[in-house]
Amino acid sequence: MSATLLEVRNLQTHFVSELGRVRAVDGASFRLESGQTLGIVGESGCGKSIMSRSILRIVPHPGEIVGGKILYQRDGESIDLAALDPKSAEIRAIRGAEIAMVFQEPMTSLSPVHTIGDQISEAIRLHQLFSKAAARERTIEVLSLVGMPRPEGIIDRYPHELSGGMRQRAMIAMALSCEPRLLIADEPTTALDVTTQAQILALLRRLQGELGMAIMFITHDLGVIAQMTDHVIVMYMGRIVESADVDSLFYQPQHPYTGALLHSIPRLGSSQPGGKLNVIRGSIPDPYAVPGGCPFHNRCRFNDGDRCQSETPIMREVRPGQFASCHYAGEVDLEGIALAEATP
Amino acid sequence: MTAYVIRRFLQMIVIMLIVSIVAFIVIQLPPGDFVDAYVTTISGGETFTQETIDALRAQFGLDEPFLIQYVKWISNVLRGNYGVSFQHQRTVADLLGERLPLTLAITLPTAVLVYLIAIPIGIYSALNQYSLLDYLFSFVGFIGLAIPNFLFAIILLYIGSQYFDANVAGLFSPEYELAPWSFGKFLDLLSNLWIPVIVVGTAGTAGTIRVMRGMMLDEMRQPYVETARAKGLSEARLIFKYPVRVAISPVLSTIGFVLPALISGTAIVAIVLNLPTTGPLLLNALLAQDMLLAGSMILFLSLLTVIGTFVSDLLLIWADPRIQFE
Repeated sequence: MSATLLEVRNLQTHFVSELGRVRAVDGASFRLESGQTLGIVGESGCGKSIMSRSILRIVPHPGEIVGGKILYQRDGESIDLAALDPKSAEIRAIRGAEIAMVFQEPMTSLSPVHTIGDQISEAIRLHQLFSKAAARERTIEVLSLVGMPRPEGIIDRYPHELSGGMRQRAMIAMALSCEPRLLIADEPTTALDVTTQAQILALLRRLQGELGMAIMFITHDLGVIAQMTDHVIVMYMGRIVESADVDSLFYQPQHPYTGALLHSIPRLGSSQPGGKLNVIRGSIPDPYAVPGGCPFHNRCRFNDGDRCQSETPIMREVRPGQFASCHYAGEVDLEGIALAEATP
Repeated sequence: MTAYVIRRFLQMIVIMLIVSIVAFIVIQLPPGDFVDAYVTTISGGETFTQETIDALRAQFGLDEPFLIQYVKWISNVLRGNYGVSFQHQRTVADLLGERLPLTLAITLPTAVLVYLIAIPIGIYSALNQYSLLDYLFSFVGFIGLAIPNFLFAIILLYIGSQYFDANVAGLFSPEYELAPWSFGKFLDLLSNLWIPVIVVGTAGTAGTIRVMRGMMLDEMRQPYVETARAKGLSEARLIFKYPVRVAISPVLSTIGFVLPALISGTAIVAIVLNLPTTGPLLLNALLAQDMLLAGSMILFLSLLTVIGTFVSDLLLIWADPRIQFE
């Protein structure tokens, strides 16, 4: 159970243009064990999507991995995905087959002019030796696995003929068609309404139980994190600021940013009607001009005006198994919330 | 699908009927008729007596009321009899039979070349945006779009005759001009074809490159391309299966206009280059109010437009399943 599947070491993915250099991922390190569900949480633009695309080597132009390692473990050997050519046959054999991805927008992430079945069986035939007929059967099989009603009919439908939830099910079926060891789900429920969201989350939980794959769950929704994940990584400005198991993170956050995120969840009965919502003050710094020191210092209420602005904090173990990159982690008094409060 | 095709066919018949009436009216709209035009162009000081003019008018049937003329004409056309050109004193079928093959010899290869050249270049330019070749194609493309065809024809005429000693005016070298068809004449035609093909095709190629490039740039940014990439498809395979398939739609929708353009689109170039094609024939027929010739040609062009649009629609339905039969 606790064999390492993926280890990311000091990953740096940068975007360089005439405007300057954006450090979308700036020295991220973490481990993912097989069968584990890892949550990656952070505001828009914190680098969580780029980090997941770095693993598959599909970072959009002009983004590039400029440093670090992505060690993928297979059959006792370790492959550094960061060192592969993004167009090589080696990485293409891993994409879709061993590491698959579910995207945010089920409408635009499926080709509008090809049938669901065409797009799913393509993945099957690409990675496995299947005849056309066998691939079609397998497609129907995975469609019923994801709870698609009447899969024999749906297989010949086009995406625009399906509802949002059904499209996302088709997307998940496509990702699972080759039985990957790791499923990266990039905000898979953000574009769906709440009822459908709950169905898709339940589906993913069930499938993980049945297939035993690891899931990397990327979201900005702490409620989803609370429901879905074992271990959580909090990202801010391309860096990992806190890493902990889900209970510790919610009950005893150690990084001020995590604390602020938790308290920005609106909760029933926590404020007077007409009262203000808790928000994190300030906004994310200009990615082209990141301030020195701790990247969060300009928004942090514990900013000491000295060390926080000059010295970049390093990641350290604050409690057993819980890491945070804050000079005062463990000293500042942060209030957690109950897990149940986070789930809608 | 069958119901859709039948419905479209019925619509086409109605459209053609309306077009024939409108065409007949429009050709007759300018003051006077063929006989007036004839008399003013022919009579170099010579005067026609009123009797001669009336006799001419009666001979061509122009003294009859408009409606009778129309009904006579259209019922003949429906029976496959297009009548005799007033101007040329030859049957319309004969005139078209002479010029249509030569016209198609220029326009068909041009149309095919436009797509064969423009679509790959458009795709290449989009995939290598802001590369040296992309800038080069864009530069050439804008010039191709901006230069009027007749000017381009004159420039090529000049360059061809000045530097390549080519026979640039007309489709045949003088020795083959009036010779009967032979293999030598065919080769001669091929060797003279390149100037009109370049002139006629440049603007279309440039335009299609821009459309294809723009569409591809849009489509390459779509999330479904990322999905295909995350699936493990190779770049070449995913580009041709996904974004190209979507990006080609606007190009398919213009195929409908290519058909009539094959026949009439080359008029100005043909006049400059002295080409024996249908373009100048139609222009002269309209100027001379040569009713039967002009009417038949316009009817033919309209038919091609209607058929072309229908073909385009079928292609679009095939290419994009989101389009419904409505």
